[in-house]
Amino acid sequence: MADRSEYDAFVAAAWQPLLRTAYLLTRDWAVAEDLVQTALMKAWLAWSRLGNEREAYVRKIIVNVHVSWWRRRWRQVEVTTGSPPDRTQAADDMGRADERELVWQALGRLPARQRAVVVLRFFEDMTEAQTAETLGCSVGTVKSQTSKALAKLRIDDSFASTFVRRG
Amino acid sequence: MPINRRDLHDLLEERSRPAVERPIPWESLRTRVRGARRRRFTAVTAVTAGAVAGFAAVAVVASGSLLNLRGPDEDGHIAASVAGQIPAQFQEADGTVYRRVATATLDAPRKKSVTFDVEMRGKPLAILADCPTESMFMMPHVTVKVTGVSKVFTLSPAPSLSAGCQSNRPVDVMPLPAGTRRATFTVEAPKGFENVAPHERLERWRFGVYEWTPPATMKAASPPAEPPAAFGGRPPEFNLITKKSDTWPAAREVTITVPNTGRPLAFEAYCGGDIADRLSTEVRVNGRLIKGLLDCPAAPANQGGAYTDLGGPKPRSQKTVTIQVRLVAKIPEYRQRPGTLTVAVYEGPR
Repeated sequence: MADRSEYDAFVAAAWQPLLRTAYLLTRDWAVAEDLVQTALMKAWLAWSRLGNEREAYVRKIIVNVHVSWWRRRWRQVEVTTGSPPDRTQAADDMGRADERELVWQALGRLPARQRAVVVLRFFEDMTEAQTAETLGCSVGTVKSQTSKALAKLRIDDSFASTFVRRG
Repeated sequence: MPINRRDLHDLLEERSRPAVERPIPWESLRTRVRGARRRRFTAVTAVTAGAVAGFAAVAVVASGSLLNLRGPDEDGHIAASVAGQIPAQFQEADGTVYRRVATATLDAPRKKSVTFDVEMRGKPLAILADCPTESMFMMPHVTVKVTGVSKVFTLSPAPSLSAGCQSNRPVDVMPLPAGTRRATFTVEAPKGFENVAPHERLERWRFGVYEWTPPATMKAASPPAEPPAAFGGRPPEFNLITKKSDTWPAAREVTITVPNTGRPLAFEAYCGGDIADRLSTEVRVNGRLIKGLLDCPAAPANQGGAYTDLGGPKPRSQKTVTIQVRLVAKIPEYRQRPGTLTVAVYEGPR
């Protein structure tokens, strides 16, 4: 049988970093917690096969289940009968905080796959290859999705070389 | 002026920081783990109860391993649909029996597709995949051809194995023409399959094609799961105002009418029982068909919500809003499988 105490220790250690990732993907704490629990439940069912890649495995489930949920939601939310959401913001007199808020809002409007690429590349500090592994797509797809996402977020790509990796 | 990547990193770091203050929901997590294990072995329990064989040799079950029971099948095995296995026969909770009629392996690095024939006996078909990944970007594509028929058939209700991989359940094949005796299946590896990292490369996909038979006597449907009381942030933006459930197949639609208070509305429709994710829904709002057929998802507690936003405030002249959700079974045998349909309506902030 799978070792329950080992699993509990893993959950205790990995919960917060996983929840951070899930929140950045979903932008809703309740949905993020639901997503992490779903992934941890699946991890328990496969626990004996996971080896040392447990957190990576769970993170992979989180990202892919999120994209799956989002696709279902996108299909269902696309038809509305009322006014479109107010997304216009005054651009003048914009301070740094406003700029960050606008980027945060723009991040929320990205399609799930592009948002996932941004979170994995620029929060998790994954390489393009690691991001491709996590999403189950090619490195070329990660590059193109990153480029599209950064363009929408108005991130200056030339700062790449000054970006400092964590830990 | 655009911000740089460092700023982006700091922004993500800052916005996700409240996670450190949120306690681990141990109780909820343990309940879900127990529930998942119970669901996984439900089929086995049902088969055990119905077995007429003189003995049942039960293997010790480790997570993900196959539970074998002696039973009436011709090769002596009846098994649960356990992750990573393509059992000869198994039974779902509603009593429907799945009997394997073909297996296939897609040796992905060497071959990009595999084609095989299945003899048919007039029963609906479904395909169960031993999924090495749940990534929806890496799902093989399944098509089915029938000699003399130009139409190419695929999976139902969505043409993807993704839902089956996530739930470890068979995915239905679209109904084939009446009288079909032989169907030719083709499973193709997804585009970009060979570009993943070496340790991620999937060497083998295994598939089982099953014919399924609903129980002669239909069981009563289990009570529907409760919808979430609210959704959309903290505090929630949308709160439940009303809900209604009915039982399939006796009832095939649920209609709810709510007063137009001027607030935004949203609703969620979901199914209970083994019909979940297998039947389609047709939705009308104030009589107008607002979308094509969609699959009816399982209860939100199992899969996360899929709320349909009905947009902002409605015109004052519109006194009520009526939401009508109808279940559609493309495969007639689903009329012998019990389930529930629930529609929950939510109201947002003014």
